Amino acid sequence: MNDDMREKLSAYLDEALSAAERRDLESRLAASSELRRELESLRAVSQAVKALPRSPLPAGYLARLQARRARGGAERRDWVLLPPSYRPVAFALSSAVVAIAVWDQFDRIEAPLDIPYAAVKVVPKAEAPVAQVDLSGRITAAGAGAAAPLSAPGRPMEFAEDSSPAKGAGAAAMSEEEMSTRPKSLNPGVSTNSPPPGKA
Amino acid sequence: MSETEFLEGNAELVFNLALRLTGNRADAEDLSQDALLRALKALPRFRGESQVSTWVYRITVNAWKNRVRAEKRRHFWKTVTLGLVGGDDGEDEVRDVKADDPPLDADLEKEEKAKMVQKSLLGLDEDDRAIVVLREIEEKSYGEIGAVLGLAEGTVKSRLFRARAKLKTLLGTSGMKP
Repeated sequence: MNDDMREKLSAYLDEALSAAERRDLESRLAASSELRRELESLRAVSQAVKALPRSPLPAGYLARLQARRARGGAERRDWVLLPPSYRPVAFALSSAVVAIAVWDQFDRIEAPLDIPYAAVKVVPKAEAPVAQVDLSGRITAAGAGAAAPLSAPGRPMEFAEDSSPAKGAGAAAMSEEEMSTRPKSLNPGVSTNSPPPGKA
Repeated sequence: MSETEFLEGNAELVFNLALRLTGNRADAEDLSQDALLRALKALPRFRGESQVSTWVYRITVNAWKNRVRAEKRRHFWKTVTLGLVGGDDGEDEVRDVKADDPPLDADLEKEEKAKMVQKSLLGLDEDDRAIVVLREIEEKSYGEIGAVLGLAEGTVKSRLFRARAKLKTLLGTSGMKP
């Protein structure tokens, strides 16, 4: 016997079958003792529950009800953590806290420091090429030809290792005497020893 | 309908429904009063689209289901917090009948059979228990049960069959041959 047939037996007890379904089931019941036993066991369950006695209201029930109403205690608290009306606000606040925490973690990620050695090559000062500044103002690397750039694609840029206080002045710097002998057009913004006209 | 008429016509019905759903008189009184007070508050807005009893049964069943859910959540968090400190001795299971409450039917319903049936009812899950009680005790139709529980009639029909089958098993294991 399948569940569909048992479900029909249950509905039969409740007189909830259509006339056609009821006729069909009754003919099956007449032919099957197993079906009849199943129907009787379901009927017994139903009657056992129906037989539970009804109880009158306990003494003083309505008086306690009115007293509870007067106290304003109409509704018992069914929630545990937060009343339902507060939940969207709590959800929004907790989402914001989580978002800030995640953002903070991303913000702490530092730039990588394991740059390949080949990308920046430090050479000792003795081997460092000396840059020169020609009179046209172009900076060229020593020994690489007049127009050769300091760095070419695929070739690491080279820096001279120098810890002296004069670092930065280097070979490219010109002496004050040289600067003063150059034409003024080559030294824009560089003051000379001669005072400006009118101030002499 | 006045409040007095409403209470006279429905208080006992609601109390009996609550009694079969909760399984003990103390919880039944608390639940039924809660449901009746909610219903009284909403009574001026009741538009008569369903029977008053169907409406108040729905309030009662919803209030009861909310309590069961709240109790389960309470039990869950208690288990989690006690579990974290290793103090859960497993003695605080969710139960329908309070330990210090006299068992239903101990004073008024002496028959052993009634106690077994009530105990078996408590073995059904919430919706199934409500369906059986509304059908067998309150004699509601499938349509009315569906209106109370928010279920389709077909769902009520199939769930009622399954609940009866489970109840048959539970009654069998409790020593009572249905």
